[in-house]
Amino acid sequence: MSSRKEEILAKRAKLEALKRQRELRRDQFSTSRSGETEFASPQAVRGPARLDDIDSLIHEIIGEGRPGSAGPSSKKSISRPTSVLSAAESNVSEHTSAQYAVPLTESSQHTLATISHQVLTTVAPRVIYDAPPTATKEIVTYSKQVQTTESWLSTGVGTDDIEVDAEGEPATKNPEEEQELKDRIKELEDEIAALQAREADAADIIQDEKDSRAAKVRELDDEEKQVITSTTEFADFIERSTKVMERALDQDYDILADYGLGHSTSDEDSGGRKIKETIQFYSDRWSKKRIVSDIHFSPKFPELVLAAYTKNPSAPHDPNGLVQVWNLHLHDRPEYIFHAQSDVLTARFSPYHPNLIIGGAYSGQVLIWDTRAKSQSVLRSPLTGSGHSHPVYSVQVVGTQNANNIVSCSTDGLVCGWSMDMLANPLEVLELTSPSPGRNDDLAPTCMAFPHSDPTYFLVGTEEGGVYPCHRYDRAGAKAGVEPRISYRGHAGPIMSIDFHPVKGPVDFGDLVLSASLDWSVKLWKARPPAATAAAVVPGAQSLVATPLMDFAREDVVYDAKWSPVKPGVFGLVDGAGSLEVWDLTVDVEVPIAKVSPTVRAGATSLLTRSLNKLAWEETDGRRIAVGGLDSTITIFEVGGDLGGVEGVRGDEWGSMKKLIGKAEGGGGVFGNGGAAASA
Amino acid sequence: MTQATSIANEEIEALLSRLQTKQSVQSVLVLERQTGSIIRSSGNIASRSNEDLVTEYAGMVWNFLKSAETLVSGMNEDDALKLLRVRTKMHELCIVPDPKFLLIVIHDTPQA
Repeated sequence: MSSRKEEILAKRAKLEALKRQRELRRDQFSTSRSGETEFASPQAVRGPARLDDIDSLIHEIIGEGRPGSAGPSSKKSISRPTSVLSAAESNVSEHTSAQYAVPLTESSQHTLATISHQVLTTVAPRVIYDAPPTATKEIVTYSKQVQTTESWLSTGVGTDDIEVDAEGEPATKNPEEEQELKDRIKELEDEIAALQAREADAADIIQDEKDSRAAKVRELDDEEKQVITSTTEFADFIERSTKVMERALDQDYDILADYGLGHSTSDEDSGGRKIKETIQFYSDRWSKKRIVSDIHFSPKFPELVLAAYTKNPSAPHDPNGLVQVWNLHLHDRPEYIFHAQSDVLTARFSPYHPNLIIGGAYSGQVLIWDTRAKSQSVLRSPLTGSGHSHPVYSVQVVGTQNANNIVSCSTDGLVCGWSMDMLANPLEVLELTSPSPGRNDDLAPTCMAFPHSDPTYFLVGTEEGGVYPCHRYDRAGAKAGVEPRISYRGHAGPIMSIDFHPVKGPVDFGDLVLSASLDWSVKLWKARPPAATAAAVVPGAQSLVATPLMDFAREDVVYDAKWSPVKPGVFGLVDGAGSLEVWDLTVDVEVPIAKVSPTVRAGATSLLTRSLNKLAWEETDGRRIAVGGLDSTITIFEVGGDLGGVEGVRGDEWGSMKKLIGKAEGGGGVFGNGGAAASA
Repeated sequence: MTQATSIANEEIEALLSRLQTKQSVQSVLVLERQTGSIIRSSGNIASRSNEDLVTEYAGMVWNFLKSAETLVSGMNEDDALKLLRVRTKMHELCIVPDPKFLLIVIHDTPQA
């Protein structure tokens, strides 16, 4: 803004100068016309008697010096009546000519006189306005400016030359110059007008902005609000933006933290074997009075954990089944909520499709939800037909990235394979029957586990306490269904979970199986490869009964036991007393390394709600454990470096685990239990 | 239809009030992106029965957003503004811009 004003000022000054010059020219013209005194104008000097004048001038200069030099200077002062500076400037020039002009020749003296005259008349006004005179000012500076700045000055000089030659020229030339000056002045005036207009515009804009700020930002009235808030667009926006906002607000880490300020944090060293509770997930609206029936960490996004819930008996209008996906960065609100008509008993992320969640329901339905879709399942198996008609307590996604399907298992012994794309009919149906005659024919599987290496063979844990290997397909020497020649016996109560050891290290423990049971124990088994059982057992012989490698007796019913995804000897278990225990077999096989209970949620009914149902390890680095149970709360624990974390795995753990297993097997594996293994 | 919208309204209310009840949150504003008109306001600045303050805040935020937009689109035509967090000594402003609306939360920052 100020620069614009300056510009205007400068232009005005120029205009002033131009006007003045025009007047000057007019004066000169008129005086030369009237032909008054010789000293009145420069034109007069160059009149017809010019040569005589010069001669006399030279004589004067040579003779007296000072009067000669005074000649042009006196002319100068006359020719610049408007100039404030004229006296001082002419004094300067007087001195210079007096001191230095003496030795000059006649012609050079004359040129100097004419040039300096021209200089002073045309440029001085401008100089005056630009800067006040100082002692250091020199004429040379002005001449330079004259030569370089305005183009019309050169024509002026040209005119001078012509004037020297012909007397009538100036008169004819002057109207042209006049015109030119007029044009120039007009131009400048226009420019000034334009600038002023622009400035006015700018001021208007500022005013407008101020106005708009005051006027445009206003509170909508109720009706307008109603219209906007009832659009689905607005609802979507609120849904999305509040989620982002809550994530932002829940971000614990302060990115502006200054560690130099010396905080008084009494952070206990997160010692290698410690377990620290980090977050609890509970939603008043949805979690209330529902029992956590399954938990699973997303294999793709380690911060997401899903929880399946049974129905809320006091809210008949809410959907019975519920799956909530919690985000470790979003503390009191689930990232996604999915519904089902019937209690969801099991649910897990598909390892090959990060958006899909597969669930099994009490009604026997198998469901697929999509995080890109709404809360209703995108696919579900029909209630009638060839699928399950009993509760589905276990679903698995087996296969590879390019060829995988869902295998589900219901309590009536029916195992179904499904395509991920179509749940109208199962791809395969397998009915499991009890291998031992004399008992009831049906098998009641409660859980199912596939080894990591073989998608055609799996173990089921049953209500009566047996663990049976099963084939999905007919194969050499064995029919599809329960493998009759071997069974894993040892549990006296229903099996609640089976878990194969994850294969992620130098030694393959993929045949180690952990089973948890309501008989207050967890047992470690070595699963026989299906081919070996087929070869080893003579057809028709008594079926082989395998016994556990180790037996971990606990003080309460054990609902779930899971291997750590990274540490070979570490597993976690949850029990009916509400504790989470973490064991490390390479350290101790008799007592857990750590044992914690989640803090009781404020307002939870205390009686019989502490029991924990399920446990899940975070799959990528095994640093976190999620547990959940009767009190509808999901609790996330972080384990220390000795119990989880990829970088913390000691090389010798695999070795000592191998030794331990070898001893347990060798030392009469049939009776091997925790005590025996420990003493060995 | 009306049933559906009323349920949606309830949900909107619930989500916004959840946000408002977070302990560090001071104010929640919802504006229109185009005009900056206030659709909703709650919390500190709204409760003082001082309507000018709300409109003033909204105006400032809106102007700030516009200049931020200019900045972003000036750097890359195809780019778009997704989230603005303005940390001050005392507060933080979180602004979630959307093609049609803006959500603004003013909250206290953790003591540093």
